[in-house]
Amino acid sequence: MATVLTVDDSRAVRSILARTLTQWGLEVAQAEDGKKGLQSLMEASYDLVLLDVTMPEMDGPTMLANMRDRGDKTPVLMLTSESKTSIVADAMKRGIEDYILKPFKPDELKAKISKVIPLSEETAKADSTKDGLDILLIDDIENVHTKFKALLPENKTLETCTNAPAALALARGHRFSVVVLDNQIPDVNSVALMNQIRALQPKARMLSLCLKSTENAREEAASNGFDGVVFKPLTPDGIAEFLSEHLEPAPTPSGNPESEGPVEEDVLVVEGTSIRVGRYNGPDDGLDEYFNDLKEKLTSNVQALAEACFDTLELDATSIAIRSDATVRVLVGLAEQAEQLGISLSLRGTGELRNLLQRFAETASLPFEESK
Amino acid sequence: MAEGQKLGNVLGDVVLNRIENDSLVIPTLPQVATEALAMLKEEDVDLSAVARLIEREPVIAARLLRQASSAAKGTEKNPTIQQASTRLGSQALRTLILDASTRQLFQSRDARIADLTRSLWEHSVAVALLARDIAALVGGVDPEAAYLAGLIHDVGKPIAAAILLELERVVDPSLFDLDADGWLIAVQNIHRTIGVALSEKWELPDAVAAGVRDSSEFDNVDREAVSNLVCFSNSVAKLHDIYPGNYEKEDAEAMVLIGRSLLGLEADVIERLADGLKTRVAQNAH
Repeated sequence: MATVLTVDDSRAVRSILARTLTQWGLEVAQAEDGKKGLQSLMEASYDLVLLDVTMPEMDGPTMLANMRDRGDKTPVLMLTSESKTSIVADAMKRGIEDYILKPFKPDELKAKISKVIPLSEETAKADSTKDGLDILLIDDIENVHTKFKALLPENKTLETCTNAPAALALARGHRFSVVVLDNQIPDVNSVALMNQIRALQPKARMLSLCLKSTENAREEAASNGFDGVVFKPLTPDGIAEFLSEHLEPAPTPSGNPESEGPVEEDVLVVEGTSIRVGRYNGPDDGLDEYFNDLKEKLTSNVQALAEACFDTLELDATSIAIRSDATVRVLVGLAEQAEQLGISLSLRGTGELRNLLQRFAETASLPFEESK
Repeated sequence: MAEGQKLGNVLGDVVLNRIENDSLVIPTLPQVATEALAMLKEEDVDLSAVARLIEREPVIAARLLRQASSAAKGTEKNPTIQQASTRLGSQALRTLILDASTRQLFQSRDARIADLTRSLWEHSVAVALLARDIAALVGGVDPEAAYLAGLIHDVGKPIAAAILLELERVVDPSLFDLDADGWLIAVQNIHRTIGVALSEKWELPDAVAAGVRDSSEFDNVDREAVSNLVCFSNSVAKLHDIYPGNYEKEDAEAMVLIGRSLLGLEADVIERLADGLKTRVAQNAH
């Protein structure tokens, strides 16, 4: 177990740190000033020191200088209400990992500690407070939101807003795959806003929403740093093109002799307690690999749902490849696993899949909704 | 170096003496800017009337047309001043007027300081752009106030340099043989005093004036203070080589470390914001 020494003259701070760090699976020792901190370091070795600046007897900078002078290279994180540049610059010269200003947020503490000490998977997972969503649409006209939503498939998640502060608040709180930004919002420089959102959402694709009649729209959007465009008026074909270009990777042409194994979109797309099976467009001889992959991923995801205390699972199998024995074997395996784990399973899929499942006892009685 | 310090001492005495005698001459806002800003303070401002005023001030008008057309598409690329004013809206218009008025203070005809003041303006634009972005990212701070505070945080430096040049006849001329660093050292101690005086004269919002007055150290009590954004952005811009003089690199790095924690920003977010900053400065500064 990794060990942390907290050196702080405030008993309240030491107590909060001890409680928090213990919850994260770390062993904690405490010292109330620099002198006692140095003594602790002589008696035992630690993976990290959390060091205050202002303390009686011996302050943090003096303790740090003593440590380094005698060759002690234990990583140090400064945790202090001191923000004087000269003090921090001097500590940086002596060698500190990072700096946290009091009062601190547990997330910041966890993020900075985890750069020094690997935290348990469970603790690290709890750090990920941002949920993943598909699309952020920013347009000052609410009817655009309504139209966009109406044209999207049900399984796509969409957040909408009408102005820059709301867009940035959403970008701070969630993780998006695609951001669609109207290029004519009053009082908003869409390029500046796009760059700000990109700083928060480096992996999201940034698309400019503009009128189809706009001259050289694609070239202009690209020159401003956008990854693509979506045209108004919104049409079913336009949204389908948008989805295939930016949310679902383009299908590999069927019969391509060079394509190998499962291709196209992810085998599974997981959103909370909903799991969607990705479409398979590879060659027939890659189907065995596809089904093996699918079975393995379904098993691990259902296990994860159970571990997270979820008791329902909606599986959208609309796009699952149909090959009677293999398809049924995967879904029977899933139904058995769900039953064992106390998870109530419901399915969504095509009429062809419904007919297939009704031929087998294990799957005939599963709740099934036919896709439109 | 020593000449710069000597001149700085002379300058400090002169400026403080003039302030005491109420004789320090601070540049005024152009008349059109003053009137337009007064109109823009009104809740139901008539943007057409503001546009008619701006038509009388070529520098502001040119800036307005350029900004409006850069954000426009296709046929809207050549707007009239009326259209441009409406398109930008009152808040952006206010920033633009102050931006155009401030940049004039960084223009000098004296060859000895012309390059320096131009580079200081580029540095100010970099700080302004970063401060606006960071304000938007962290929330809770008005991005336009952050932009303006960044823009004027060093405004006292060109004014102080101009006052120094006025003193050439009464001070040992050999002291004026300075490089960029020498000039910056000479104005270092007094520039904030002059910047604050200008903020008051121009009736800038308190938050903006505080960006000039308090941007040398962080305010860790009011984390959302505009001055904190200026302080942080100033160090980031310096570390990205957008500053004309020498500076203490270790101090700037410490400022960034403190500021990241104070503002709750990850290092990679800052790097992404600063990526391409020089290009953005070039687009906005000239």
